[in-house]
Amino acid sequence: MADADADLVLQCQKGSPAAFEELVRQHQSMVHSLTFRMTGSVADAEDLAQETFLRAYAQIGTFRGNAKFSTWLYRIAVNTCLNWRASEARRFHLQANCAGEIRAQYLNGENASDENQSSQQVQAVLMKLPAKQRAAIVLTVYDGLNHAEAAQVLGCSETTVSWRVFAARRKLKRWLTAEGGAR
Amino acid sequence: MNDFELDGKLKSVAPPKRSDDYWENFPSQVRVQLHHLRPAAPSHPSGGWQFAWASCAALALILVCAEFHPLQTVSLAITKQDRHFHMELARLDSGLHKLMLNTDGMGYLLTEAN
Repeated sequence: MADADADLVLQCQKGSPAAFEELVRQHQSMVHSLTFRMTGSVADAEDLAQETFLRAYAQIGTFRGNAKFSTWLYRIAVNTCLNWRASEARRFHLQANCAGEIRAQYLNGENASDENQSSQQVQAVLMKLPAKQRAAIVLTVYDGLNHAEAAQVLGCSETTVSWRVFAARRKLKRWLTAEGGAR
Repeated sequence: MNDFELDGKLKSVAPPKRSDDYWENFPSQVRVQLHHLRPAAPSHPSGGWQFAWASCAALALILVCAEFHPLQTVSLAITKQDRHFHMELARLDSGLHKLMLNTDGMGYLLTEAN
């Protein structure tokens, strides 16, 4: 754990909300990026980021410093996203709608720049992935965690992470190639 | 498309930009919510060790109590007295037997008694 984080965590464990506010300040960008990539929705990402920090505060006493604070926080954020809207069917329905909506906007050229359209296309195919495969891609590709670190965050084996990344990459390549061709 | 190209495409997607005000206010918004929560107390070394220590301490206490309990002490004293009594009785039995067989001794005893 970084020294700055260690001191702040210790103060939080003694009940200092000010120290926790400082931890939020330092990690808010990372958590927002993760929740956005997991949900594909700005509003949901903000809610989930807030929920992640509230859960972290409630559980701060259980953090013993065996891992980095950021790894611990990643784990809470990923679990918060995976539990997001408990009904799997409802989630699938919402994500499919969201992905369809984004893709439709992209194909209709409703948004201004090519860059924007490309971003939306990528986000749309990302949202088509099963949540656990999406989490594996977000952690390894976007956040640069190696498979061992991602396994620690996801609470599974390194082999499982490797498999999820492999399966996700195969799908993403297929979908992005298909979308590129359709365009 | 190879892995490198895929990663490049994925990384080209930036998360939506938020205003500086948002980043400035977000921590204090979270802090406001904290008043409804209480952080969990720091956890101590694993429960397994705690359980093992507690079990050992309890066992030691039971053994000490069993060893020095007042009833145990009285019981030991009675046992000791009982053993001594039986030893004396055995000696007396054998003495009496010899005494009964020794007529001189019996005579001596009768003389003494009179």
